[in-house]
Amino acid sequence: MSLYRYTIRRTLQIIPVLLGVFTLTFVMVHALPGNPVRIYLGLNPSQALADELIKRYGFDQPLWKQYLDYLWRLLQFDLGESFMRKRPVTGLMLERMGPTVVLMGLSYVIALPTALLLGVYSAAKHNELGDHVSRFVGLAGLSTPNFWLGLMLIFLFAYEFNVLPASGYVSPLKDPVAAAKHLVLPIITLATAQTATLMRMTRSSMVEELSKDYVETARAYGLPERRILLRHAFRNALLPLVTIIGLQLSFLLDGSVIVESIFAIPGMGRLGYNGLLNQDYGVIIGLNIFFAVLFLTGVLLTDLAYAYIDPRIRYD
Amino acid sequence: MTDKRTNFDRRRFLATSGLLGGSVLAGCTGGDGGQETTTGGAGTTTAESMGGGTETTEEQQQNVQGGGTFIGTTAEDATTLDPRMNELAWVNGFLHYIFDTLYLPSPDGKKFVPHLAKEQPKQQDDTTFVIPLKEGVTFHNGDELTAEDVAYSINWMLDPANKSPNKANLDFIDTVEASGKYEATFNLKYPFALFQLVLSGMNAGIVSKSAAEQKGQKKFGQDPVGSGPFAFDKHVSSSHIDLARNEDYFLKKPNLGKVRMRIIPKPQVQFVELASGGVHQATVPKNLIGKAKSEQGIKMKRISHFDYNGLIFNSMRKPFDNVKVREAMQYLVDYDEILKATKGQLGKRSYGFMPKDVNKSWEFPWKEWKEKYYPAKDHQKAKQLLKEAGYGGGMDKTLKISSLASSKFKNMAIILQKELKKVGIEANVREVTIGQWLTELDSGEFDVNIYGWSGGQDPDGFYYYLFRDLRNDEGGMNDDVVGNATAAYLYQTQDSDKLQKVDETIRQARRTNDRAERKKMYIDAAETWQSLYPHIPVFSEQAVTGWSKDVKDYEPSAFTQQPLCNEWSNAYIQK
Repeated sequence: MSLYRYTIRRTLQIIPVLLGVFTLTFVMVHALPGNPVRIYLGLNPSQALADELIKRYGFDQPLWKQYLDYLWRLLQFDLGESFMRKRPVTGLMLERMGPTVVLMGLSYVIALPTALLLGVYSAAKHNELGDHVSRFVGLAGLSTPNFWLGLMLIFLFAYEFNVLPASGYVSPLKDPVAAAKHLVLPIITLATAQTATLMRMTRSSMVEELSKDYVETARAYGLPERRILLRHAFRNALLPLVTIIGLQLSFLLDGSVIVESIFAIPGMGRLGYNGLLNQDYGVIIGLNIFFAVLFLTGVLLTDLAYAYIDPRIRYD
Repeated sequence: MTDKRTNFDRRRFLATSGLLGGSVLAGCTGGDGGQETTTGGAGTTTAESMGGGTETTEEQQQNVQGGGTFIGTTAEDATTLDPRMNELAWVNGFLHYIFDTLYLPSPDGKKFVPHLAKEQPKQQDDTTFVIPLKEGVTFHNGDELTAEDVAYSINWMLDPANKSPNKANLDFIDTVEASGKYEATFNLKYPFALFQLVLSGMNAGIVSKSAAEQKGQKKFGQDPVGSGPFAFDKHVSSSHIDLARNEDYFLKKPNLGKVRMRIIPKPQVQFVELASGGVHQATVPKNLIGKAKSEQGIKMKRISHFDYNGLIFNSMRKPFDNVKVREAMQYLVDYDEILKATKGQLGKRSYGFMPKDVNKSWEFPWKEWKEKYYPAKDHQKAKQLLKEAGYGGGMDKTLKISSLASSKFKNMAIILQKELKKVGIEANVREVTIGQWLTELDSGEFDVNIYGWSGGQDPDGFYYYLFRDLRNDEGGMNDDVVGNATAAYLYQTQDSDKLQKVDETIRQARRTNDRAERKKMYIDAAETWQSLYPHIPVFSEQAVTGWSKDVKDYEPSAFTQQPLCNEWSNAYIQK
């Protein structure tokens, strides 16, 4: 199968997955105990007002009808209205997209090369001091929860040293210097676990490659170690890594919810968190679909990269 | 703002990291580290100074320089800035910067001071009040504020077509008429004791009629026009709200040039921002109060919330349908211990299902109530009562105690669970979401649940909202709603004349203007309810507000709706 046909086939496969994500999200949010009208109105609501809101938002309709109505709107790229904020979900998401994309993008841009570098170094120094230190740092990075790390960084750099702001967001387009200052701590917080995961994967993959016969042969031929490491072993070790790199996007999305809350960044993660607390159906479904599209695009690109690197994949 | 620290020692780090760690853990369980659950009502507060502050001298006053931006913090974003449609308590407080009300409570909360009103209401008869307005007040769009705007603002909320959530709070008003350019006449449906209290709150904020009609409700909520000391400038969703000085404010020109309210969800981060000079005001979390006290640049005040928190029994099903079982529960807990485990120093015990501050200001016999209805821990007595109720041999089921995922609530539930075990009763504590909690209260699917309510400084805020029989409301209740979230489940199981009489009393109390008469009514209601032990009443909350000493002529208090520029203060940032 040509790469072109493979690309089309993989892209089309996204459609039923998205429908599945929507259906599952729809069913799950509606299966949650409680309803958004009660949460919105709190204790002691006026029954008349509650009835009115239930009717206005169609919650009195059978679930299958609500599902079909929502699906129809979705096909017209209408994500509906936020029940709590009384505003279109699309508008709310667009407002918050910038900070989340910047935060996630920069975290990844920093995490990836750092992880590859440390992973290769660790594998090259297998079972030596450098390897032990890298592994320990990796393990610590993996085991440190985002919320704890974020608060500790705030305490250190904003409170004790008072060199960086504790919270807030400035757009890099408006003031790059202020933006950089505001982003340092959230990016470190978000990138730490990513770096640790990727570093450990890189190391394992590299250690495996370096133990293979062709590496021994290359050494026997007297090829320089650096060349063996980077041109031969690293290239082969990249294959399993490419898959992980794409899948790591989902962990970044998870992390952004917590990091945005701690650092008061007005991004999509916070929107989703508040939406979930308030059972704001429109926001939860809208964000899930958006994140699913983003994630599936990441997976698609990974698969295409995989198919490009290893043509055997296209014939599976 | 505050001193910048550059030295850093290990012990200090460990001490604070431990504190932060504790905060984080609390945050994990939704405790003090996270957003506190708002359970309704219009939260009002009283305040106690925590020392460490310096008073503003005359010399400092003379140093006032115009301009400066005051930066405050809050945990939640606003969903609308239209006072006619807002329901969030903190937004109501914030909207006092943009909008004015006819009256304001004095800083000690003892009287209502005319604000947009020229003087106290002139009573024509039991239900008619004429309120003259000050002349020369202008909205931020330049229009003059007249009686038309007052009538429009209130009547708009009363119109069922507009579905204002504030309608229920204003339902005692029939109509408001502009009886002159500067004179509004309020026609009430019935005499109402809380008339001026309601008019001093943001539920009765005055909006510009022309701007509201021109923009439409939704746009007005995003770009509001009021007459307050600061005009709306910008709202960056989930980030901040900016206000700019109203140069023509009718009281005086505000000293501050701008006000910014930053939305910072985590109280620990709010505190760091305050201590490091990023903001001028923040909430200080319980476990960082000691640290805040050591900060030279911070003043603090302990502010009591007029709220009530406790555990509610489901008296609609066994075993709590039996009053002896409910009474036995009072002997199981040590009230002081339960308070300590929930709010520690930041809480006060409640009596008569009201905060202690309400008990004191109304001079209710709370000490007698304490003796009579809040017994010392006595497991033998509890066992005896359980035996009399037919549960001497234990219970044939495991009790279900529900709690929101918040340490202040969960600890109450856990303490009761442990004490129940000591008398041979098994109970499970189950964490629920807000949605589940409200559903359980509606459906009655629980044995014991947590309860929290913010009712304000009047007993009506607790008794009318928690202890009236909802079935007697106009329109009644839907059939599928069992408890409808009131704390008065007993109405549905013990439909006695005695309780119906209490319902009448509670309703009558808000229509009675004579304070002494009202007091007697609330004592009757409180004693009836307390003798039925529907809850384990625990505490009313306190919070600590910290602010930078660079902000002068600023003193947050219980009753001051907005402390930056009003009849008593005009804050400024010392250069």
